[in-house]
Amino acid sequence: MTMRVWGFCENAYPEAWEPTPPSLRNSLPSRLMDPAKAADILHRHLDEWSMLDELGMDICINEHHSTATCLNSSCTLPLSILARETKKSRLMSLGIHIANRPDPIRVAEEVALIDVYSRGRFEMGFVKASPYEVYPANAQPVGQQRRFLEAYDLICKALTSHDGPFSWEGEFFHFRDVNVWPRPYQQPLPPTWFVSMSPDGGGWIAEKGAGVGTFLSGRLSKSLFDSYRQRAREIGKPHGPDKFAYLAIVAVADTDEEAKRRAWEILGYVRTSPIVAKQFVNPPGYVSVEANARALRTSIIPNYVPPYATFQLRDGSRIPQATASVDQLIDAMAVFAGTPDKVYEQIKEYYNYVGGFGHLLMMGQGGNLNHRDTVDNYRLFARDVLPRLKALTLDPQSEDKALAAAQ
Amino acid sequence: MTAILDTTRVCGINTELRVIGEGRPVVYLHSGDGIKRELDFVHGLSHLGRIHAPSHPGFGNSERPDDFKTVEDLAYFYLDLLDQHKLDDITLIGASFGGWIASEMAVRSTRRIRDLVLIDTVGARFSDRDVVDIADIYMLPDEEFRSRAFVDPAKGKIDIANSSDDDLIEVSRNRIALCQYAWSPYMHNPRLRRWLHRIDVPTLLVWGASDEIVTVDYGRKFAAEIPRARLEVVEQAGHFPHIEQGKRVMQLIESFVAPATVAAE
Repeated sequence: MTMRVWGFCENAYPEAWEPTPPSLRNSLPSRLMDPAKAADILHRHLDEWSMLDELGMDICINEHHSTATCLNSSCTLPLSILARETKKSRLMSLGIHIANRPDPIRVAEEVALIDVYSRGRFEMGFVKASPYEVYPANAQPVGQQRRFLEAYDLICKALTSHDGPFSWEGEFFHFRDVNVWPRPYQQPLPPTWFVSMSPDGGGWIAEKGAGVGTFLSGRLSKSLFDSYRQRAREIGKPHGPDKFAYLAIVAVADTDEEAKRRAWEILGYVRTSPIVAKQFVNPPGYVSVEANARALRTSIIPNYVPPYATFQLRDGSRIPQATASVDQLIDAMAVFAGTPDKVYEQIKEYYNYVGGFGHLLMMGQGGNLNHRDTVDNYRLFARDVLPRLKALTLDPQSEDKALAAAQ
Repeated sequence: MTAILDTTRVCGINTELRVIGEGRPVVYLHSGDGIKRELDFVHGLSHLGRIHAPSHPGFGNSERPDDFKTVEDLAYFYLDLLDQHKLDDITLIGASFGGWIASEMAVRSTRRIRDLVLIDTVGARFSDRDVVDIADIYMLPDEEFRSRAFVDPAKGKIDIANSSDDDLIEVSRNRIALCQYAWSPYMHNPRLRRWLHRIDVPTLLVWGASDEIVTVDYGRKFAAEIPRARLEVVEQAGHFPHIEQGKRVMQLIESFVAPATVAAE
């Protein structure tokens, strides 16, 4: 397959973090947001996404709730606008918080509708969502993974059943008349995506036959993809590069200096995203008992930074996300930034490092990066990097290594 | 007095049970923080009789099956435990979350219950829909929770540095179990108030004067729904008067239980 590149951004409202409030999530009063400015921001990003269609790129949208870091409180709504405004781009939700949504049938209906609007260009990504999302959703954090899987099973059955209603009496969801109209355009189902941030989290996703996406995971994504490949081989499921998506911050410019400046602006996302009041960070049951106990143990260590809030460098050392420099993040493979040649080389290195991947989710805007720079970033990328990525194939040596790792 | 720490199997669930002292049966149901911090009080109770102090399913070392999700499950579970251990004519004591369980048991059956003590209980709702009746511990920073729950907030702090790994596992299990039972509707059963009148045994409500998780006013409303209830307020105590003013709470319970004991003899 040739690589696909998906433009991604969070539709942040940066004015809300000047000065920085104690929490950018869950408790930040919405009076700090001017609806007229929010409209400008949302339309600006829709314009940028629409432009990707002309540039031969695809579009990936996520959602967050009750926050100034991401005004998209639904990923399906903007995707349904784009289903009409674009002609060729594929449209991915990554993702819908199906464990937190009270009604999976509504999700199935929205998914099918976008797929029909777009005449089969939709890819459905489902995520467990960040821990703090259970508060605005009022979703029980204990047993959330079981609820996630039941919601997924129900959505799939709802989208693939075409002979009249069925009933569902599950542990979490109860329906007497499931009969979704319209049914999806793509048969039997739009391509499915899940997200994992864990080094060994690929196994269950391979079992579902879905693609796995991971965000800014750098070197950790290799072991994640390896765990997917290994499980997929065991059970005879596909495990080609088209099953792997990697979200990185990408900044291209005519000079390295300008590209790194753009990356620094986009990294406003990384610097603000973790500003969450303590009580929302670890709802009971979101992680295991053992992980909770470890979190208690480390909670009394001054200035302790948990591994998930760090990046691993080439030399194996770890640096905190909050204070990382652009150069360090390039080293960590979380950021690809520089002239088109440099960015191509960086992506190629990552590609060979992880054993191949088919989908680059390009965070080409974030933080305070303005419209002009964002457009220039995407245009340069599409003109000078994208064609080369499309021709990218695995260096035979790293292919051998990846296969060896999977065995 | 030494506690016999045992495991009993109720409804197929291995349950940690402490048994202390001799005499007529008393059952103590711990708060949402787990039983460890309440052990002094539990030991103090033992001159009332033979204390049975279980850890609720999911708390301490008690198992919780995945389908055990509501306080209704806990109420039937404990009614089964009373049957299985043939505990009759008991004094049932519950603190905070344990008071909610005790109330749910008593509205279902007081057949084995002689009298009931509820310490800063939760479980019912009295206010309008957009008024907070019970402070939401999941929305509070730890410091604010402790200052609302204790007159001396230091008493609510977990001594992590001196806790063993097993202790921290237990704290985490307690936290997860409580959340399973109490996340939403938060810390109450919308149907409980309707049935509190069914509690037909003498009932003592004990309340910390400075409780800012559930205030004394909430306690008065709770007491007003139970026909034979009275409320005693304990000064210099918050949500956990049995921890902050254990002796005073003991005295109140003793004088509440004593006349009945005499009458029974």
